[in-house]
Amino acid sequence: MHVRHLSLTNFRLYARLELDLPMGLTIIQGDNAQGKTSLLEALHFLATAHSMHSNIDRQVFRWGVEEESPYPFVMLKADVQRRDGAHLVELAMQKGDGTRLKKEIKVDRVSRRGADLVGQLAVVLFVPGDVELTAGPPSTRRDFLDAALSQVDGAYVRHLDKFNKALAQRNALLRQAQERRIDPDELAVWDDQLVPNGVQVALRRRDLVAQLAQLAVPIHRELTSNLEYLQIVYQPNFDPDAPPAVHTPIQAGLGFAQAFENYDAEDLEKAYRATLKMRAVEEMARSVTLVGPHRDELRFKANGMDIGEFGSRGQQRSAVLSLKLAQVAWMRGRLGDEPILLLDEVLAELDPNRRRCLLNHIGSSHQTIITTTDINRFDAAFVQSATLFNVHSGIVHN
Amino acid sequence: MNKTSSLPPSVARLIDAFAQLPGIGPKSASRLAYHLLRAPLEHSMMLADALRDLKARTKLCSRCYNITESDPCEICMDEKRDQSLICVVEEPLDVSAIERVRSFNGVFHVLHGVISPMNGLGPDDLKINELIARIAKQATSDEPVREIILATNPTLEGENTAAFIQRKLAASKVSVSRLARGLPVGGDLEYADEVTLSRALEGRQQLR
Repeated sequence: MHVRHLSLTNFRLYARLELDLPMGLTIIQGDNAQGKTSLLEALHFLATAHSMHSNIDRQVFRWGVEEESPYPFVMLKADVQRRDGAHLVELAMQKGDGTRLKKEIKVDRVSRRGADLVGQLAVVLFVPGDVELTAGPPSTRRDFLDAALSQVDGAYVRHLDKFNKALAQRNALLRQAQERRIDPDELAVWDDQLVPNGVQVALRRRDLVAQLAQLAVPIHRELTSNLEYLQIVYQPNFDPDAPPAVHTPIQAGLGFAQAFENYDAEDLEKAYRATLKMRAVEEMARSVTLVGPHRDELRFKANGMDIGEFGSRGQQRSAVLSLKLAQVAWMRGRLGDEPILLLDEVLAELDPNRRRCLLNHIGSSHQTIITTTDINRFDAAFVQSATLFNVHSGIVHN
Repeated sequence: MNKTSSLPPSVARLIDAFAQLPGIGPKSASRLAYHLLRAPLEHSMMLADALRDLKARTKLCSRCYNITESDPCEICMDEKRDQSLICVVEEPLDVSAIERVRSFNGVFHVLHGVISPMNGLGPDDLKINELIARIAKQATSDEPVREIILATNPTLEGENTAAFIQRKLAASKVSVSRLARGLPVGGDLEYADEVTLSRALEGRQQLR
């Protein structure tokens, strides 16, 4: 798929932007703080309904817009050309009284809910900070899984939403347990919401990771000149050993296709409940839910060694690159269409071998948008094949 | 700084009082206050009386906890109604909604909220214990409770509250049902969301 036209109003530093985007490769050049990354962010925002930088949507409002209008708004529009035809995806946000923020999503001019954005526009984003995926806090890895799944799987979005709501209520109840005696049934009814939704989240994450792991192996071989065997291992937080048949093939990162038909949500629900029971005393003492996909882990291993803990910076970068390229292939398989690649200042920091590998993979995509501060970092042939834009103070020149 | 500070105190006081009501902002509050200022005195007196009576005359029915002027309330005292069928709702407004249907012939029990730890609401803050006591008390009467209809909203908290009550009633002989969920009447299949549609499929009814 590709975006033919992007229209922004009051987004970041763009008061107003109307930009035709070509198919194939686009390079956006500009100095720092001129609005290069904001263009990528806008496309990411339209694909996921969330900002890539902040969890706080109001931060995308153009600075100063509040002085100009009592009820400022942000508007993003993209004309998307997909295999199934042309579509218009729109996202508008308006600030109301106090902290109110109204978000409205439209697909082909019909109002939709956030979950309906799934599959409308698919992007894979590479940013320099992605190298933290292997070594950073576990939440960055869970965010990666959530962002990938929520672009293709509407059921995942719903289960995750319900899980998070039930989790917040359950944690509030555990805190109340410090002050009053709580009825065991009070906790049990929240468990009844937490467990089935949590299991669906875990199942889908496990499915995703198993497929990414398989797709990433040959990519990583290519990146490291056959030196490293990459394993991506999903570590669900509740004891998966309870149904032993379930755990082993996944841990080895093999044979996911068969294994996934072999176990069901019921086995995992039992495992989840058993772990909750086991850690009930600890949860009471610490007033927080300790069991569930909100504590999942994802580890990367090169030839058996944990890259997050022991890998060099270069190894970490390669692993993330392999993961992202595997994500591209995975989305292609799930959507039956090419996702759009958004590369923010990433090529510059890669060595020639990795850059070549990345560019090979870009070749098959319908649309790739690259930002850079210095066009001279690319070789002439590469620049020749691309459409070039210059960005200065929120104005884009062809 | 108070925007209404330059106004006569009695006007400012009324504006502030209106502004505390749900759905009323400072502008609407001023408009209401000035409307009353210009309207005949009887108008204000009528409103003042209505407001005073609202709290002075109403109370909660000691059986169903609906808001009433006479205790027990008219619905509970209605001899034509089936006292063995209790519909459990979140708010008094839900009673009015179901009453409008005119096809329900049982009685009600108003919880006055849903379980929501995040808002500091536990089962003891609602009328759940009262419901259980009511069922136990009625069990020895000549019209014991036969069925409880859990009519809380299909939100996460509403479902949760229904599940909690269901657990509390597990040991009793009373049958427990939940309102059906699915397609709205006059709705269009095409526009139903996936969750609603899958619920409607689950709850389908045999025709023959």
